[in-house]
Amino acid sequence: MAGADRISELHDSILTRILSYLTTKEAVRTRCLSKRWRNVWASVPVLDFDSADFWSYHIPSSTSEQLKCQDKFVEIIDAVLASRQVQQVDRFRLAWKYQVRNYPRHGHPLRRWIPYVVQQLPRVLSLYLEPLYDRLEIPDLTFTCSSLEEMKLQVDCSWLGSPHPPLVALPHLRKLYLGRFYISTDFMDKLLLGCPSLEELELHACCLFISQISCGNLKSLVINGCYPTTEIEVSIPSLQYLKVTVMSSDLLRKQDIFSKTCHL
Amino acid sequence: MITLISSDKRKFHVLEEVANQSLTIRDVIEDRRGRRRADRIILVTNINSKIPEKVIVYWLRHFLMPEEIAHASMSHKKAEKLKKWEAKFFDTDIDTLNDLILAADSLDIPSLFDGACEKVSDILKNRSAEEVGEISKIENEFTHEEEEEEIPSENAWVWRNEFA
Repeated sequence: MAGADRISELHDSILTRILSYLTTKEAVRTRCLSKRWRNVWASVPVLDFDSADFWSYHIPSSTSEQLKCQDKFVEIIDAVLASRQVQQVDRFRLAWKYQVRNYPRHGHPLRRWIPYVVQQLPRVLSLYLEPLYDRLEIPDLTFTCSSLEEMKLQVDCSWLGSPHPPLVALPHLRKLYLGRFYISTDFMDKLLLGCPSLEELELHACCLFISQISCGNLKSLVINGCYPTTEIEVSIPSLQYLKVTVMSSDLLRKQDIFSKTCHL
Repeated sequence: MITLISSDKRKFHVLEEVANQSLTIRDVIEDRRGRRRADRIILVTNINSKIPEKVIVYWLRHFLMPEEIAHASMSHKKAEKLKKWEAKFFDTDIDTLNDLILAADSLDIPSLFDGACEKVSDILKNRSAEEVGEISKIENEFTHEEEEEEIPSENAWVWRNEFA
């Protein structure tokens, strides 16, 4: 046994499982290991792209260089998606910092990546975007991806308004994280109605234009570093865990919860 | 009590309650319920005796902390402790990890399978083909021409520069 390469003898399904713990960059790099590994990455049901894996932000560079880096990043993702050999995406993560190019309204690459992913019934979707110039919208399709169980959305951009998807239909969603959004009453109502299985909700650094959160079966609510604009009444009979840190905490009325938190 | 027999003919006696963390064994136990003692022997032909020992250690640790409880109400401290224990458990050589994966696959022990796969993925992470080759004994038999040949001509730079 000693001296033999036994990992490469493992079944394809096991090798793809092993690679599913890696970022897509790390997974694709295994194509250089040997012939056996040439196409294993192409069947991994996980897509995990982080712009930080492809270029460093710390080196001060000109705008044209930054644009070049960004266009490369987009081209890399497109090339990887086009070379995949499975029609399955279990988990999709995209972290894209320092996005300098101002795409035309419907020309953003997300407009082709999100439908590509949604089509393949993902369970977990995580988007972290940091556009510098653009007013970027999360494609509406994201909010009707019925296979989702976990979703994490964060858009660091001061221009972003409240998302207004015409419909929210995420029947299996259990965990939702929203970062840096403007949360309007309309959006919140749609979310809570459209996610009947929601158990954990975290709002991070959001601007809250809502006056109440009431919901059937939420177990955990975290409101972290948010800016409420008015008093918020929380009435969630099923709640087991609550954490609130707001910038003006006197606006949050908690009498409904206190009796519930005692059970913890 | 059920008996596992490894490929090198060593016997391991395990309590049913402990061994039924393996979904395969759970099915076998269900199937053979009420039968003679001799039927409670399960051959694990594809693994040597070092592996059942490790698997039983893993079972016992998890037996004390069933998954369902782990998720719902395990305190942060306990979860951290289990994590540390697992990190130590999986900190082993590539051949043992390989055997653990095969054993967990055939005995159907999802958490053990996932843990061992994740550990192997660590070995592949951020290392050059040569470094990985040294640890895992994967041999790179590419010639330079072959390597060039297989690169798709469209976006060749992506494959040549970004994923090498």
